[in-house]
Amino acid sequence: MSQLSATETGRSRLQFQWTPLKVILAANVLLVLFLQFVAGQNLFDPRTLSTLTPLLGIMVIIGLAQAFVIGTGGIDLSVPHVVTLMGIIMLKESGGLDAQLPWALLVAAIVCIIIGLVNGILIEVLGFNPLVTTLATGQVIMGATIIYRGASLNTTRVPEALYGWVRGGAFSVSIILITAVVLVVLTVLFVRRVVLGRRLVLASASARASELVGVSHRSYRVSAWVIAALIGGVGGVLMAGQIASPDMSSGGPYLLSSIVVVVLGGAVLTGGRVSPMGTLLGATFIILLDHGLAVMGYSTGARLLVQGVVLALGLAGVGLLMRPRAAKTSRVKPDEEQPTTDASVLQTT
Amino acid sequence: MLSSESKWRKAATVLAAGSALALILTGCSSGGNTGGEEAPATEIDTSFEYDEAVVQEIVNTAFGVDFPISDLPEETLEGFARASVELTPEQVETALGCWKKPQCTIGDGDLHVGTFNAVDNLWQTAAAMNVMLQAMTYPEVGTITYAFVNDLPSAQSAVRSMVADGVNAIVSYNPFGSAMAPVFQEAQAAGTVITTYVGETPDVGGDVINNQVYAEACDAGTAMGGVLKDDLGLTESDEIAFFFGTPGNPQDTLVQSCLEEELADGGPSIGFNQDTDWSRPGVAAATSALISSGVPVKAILNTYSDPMPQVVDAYDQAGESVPAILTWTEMNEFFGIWESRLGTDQEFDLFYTNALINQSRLALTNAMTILAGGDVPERTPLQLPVIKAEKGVYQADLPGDFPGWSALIPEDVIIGMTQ
Repeated sequence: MSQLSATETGRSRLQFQWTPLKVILAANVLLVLFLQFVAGQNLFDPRTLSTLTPLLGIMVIIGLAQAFVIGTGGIDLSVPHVVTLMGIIMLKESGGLDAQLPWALLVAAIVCIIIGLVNGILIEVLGFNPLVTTLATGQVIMGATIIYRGASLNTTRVPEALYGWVRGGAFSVSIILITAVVLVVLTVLFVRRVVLGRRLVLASASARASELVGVSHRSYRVSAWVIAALIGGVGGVLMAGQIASPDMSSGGPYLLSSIVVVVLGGAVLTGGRVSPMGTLLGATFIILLDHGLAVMGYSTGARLLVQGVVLALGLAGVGLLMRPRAAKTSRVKPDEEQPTTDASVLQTT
Repeated sequence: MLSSESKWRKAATVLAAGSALALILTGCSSGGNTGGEEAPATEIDTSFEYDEAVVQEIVNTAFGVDFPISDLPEETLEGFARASVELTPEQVETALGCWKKPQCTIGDGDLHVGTFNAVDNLWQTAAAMNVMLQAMTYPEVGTITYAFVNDLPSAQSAVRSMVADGVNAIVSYNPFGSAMAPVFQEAQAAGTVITTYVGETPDVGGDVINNQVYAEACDAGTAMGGVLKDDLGLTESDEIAFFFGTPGNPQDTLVQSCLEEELADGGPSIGFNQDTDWSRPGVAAATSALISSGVPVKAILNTYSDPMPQVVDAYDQAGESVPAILTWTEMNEFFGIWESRLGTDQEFDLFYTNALINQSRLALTNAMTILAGGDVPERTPLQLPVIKAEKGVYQADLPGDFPGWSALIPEDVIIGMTQ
């Protein structure tokens, strides 16, 4: 078996490779530098941090929920309706009372698990199309929310405990963003260091591969949907606390943007490994971009246009970055003996 | 020679085509009136005796300020007068039982009124309740149909269903603008009267909407400009922010253009402008951008008070004083926030308008007058006085989204609605 020379091995280790994570990190750095020094916006001003970081935190959490689903090759269009429903649950089940908050949170969690199970079973077990299925379940959730909410609500404000908690933070950074970062870190640890998490990633990324190694892909893939719904529920609860009086419009902004942030983080919509850190950076980029454009006075139309262009570039960029890596794994040098086992095929990305 | 299978297939095709043709012909002739013919006047007793003093009191409540009835369009007087009718306990029970039901019997009359709603909040559903309460003052009205619609296609479908069901009048808030024109015209061709309230549908005439009751947006913009200059004392060296609702909506466009015209003469300039979709997340994001921009606005203007608590929240989080707020409609939770800050260093000036919901009563009465063969103009514009908030505006025993007494909903009904 021939081997790469020591020089070539060393050279390949030193060679810088652009990965989606590095690209989105660089994009964030460039955007911050642009907004800070060219557009003249002080992003680190306590006033900006205190109002922007809650919005960013919620976007990260909802993006993380979407990431679990996109990793399976699906898309969850019911996310905004889950967010809205969480807000109404916080109002109705708590009655605005701190003592009832634990009950409201329990109800919210159970509802999220049910939604996740329904989505997961319909898609992973019965094989329905994720786009159409979650569109349908989203409508069901919206209708159920309207009926559940009733004609009017006697309570229109979440419990003070929740309201007060989400207003906490450190150095003007909202506790919502801190919570989001903690969730991202826990997710990274879960998918990399915990056996269950690694199996979840394997089953999500490739049902076939997990079958071959004896991992039951269906139960793990359904779990991905349940986890996604639970994380989305966390985002909805925090959003309810942030808004204080959630209404039927709470979840509206998160349909397209939750997909955008995951794609910007390097995910492929056909499924595969998804980077939680990439999702966090994707959320940061999109929120900073939208905020920066709003501060500069650009209209909603202009900002949506930019968001669409960014999504298209992100998709194209991820596609381009993935292609050379796939080509490299099959390249064979003509003047060398054909190895029995090509080391590059076993290279994991 | 055709095989038996082919014969059956051919026969089935002919049968299906014939059935479809029959259905189309039936649909074209349904509704009791042939298209293009004007429906004969319905027998409705529109004579309604009223005491001008009582009407004046109702009008003052509706506008939130003393507003002489002599300044009102003539067709609104009966509408306001009927709002003073005291309902019997049975009628209140019926109203609460029927509220938001798809269809309900509210009286013994033959007339059928329809209404639809695209936003499921108390403001909108209270307006629908007002349609029902006003209809109860007409013994000729027997049935109310209510539809909640998500979007334009479902709104169009709801109108078509109501027309097929034989409604005599559709009284509704129209958030879809002139996109509803084709279906409204079809309804009119079938003999149904169409009236709308709150928000003008521009560029359409009486052939689309028989009568529109709306707040005169330009006057309102001018009035807001007057408040900025005269009440707040803002000058050319000051700046304000204007929060739009949905991007490009014609109402806010008109408000802003008349506002700018008024401010051009020694008033502040609009230093920040942002869309909010009239939603809480939208207002939160817009306020965050406003604060980050560093533009030292002395006032924030918008045309819907429901999401405005987010402005106060954002300024509190940023550790800054809340500027003056000028908004349309009433929102009890917001009043509570404002009142709790009175006498503290966190207090801010607040100006608002009446809830606008009372216009649904006027639209119903105008529809009935048209059905009775009476003359009602295509448009009924109303002024929108701006009111300075004073202590007592907050109703502590009512929910946060209580739309205000200017809605003209009786107390026992509003309590029943919010329980």
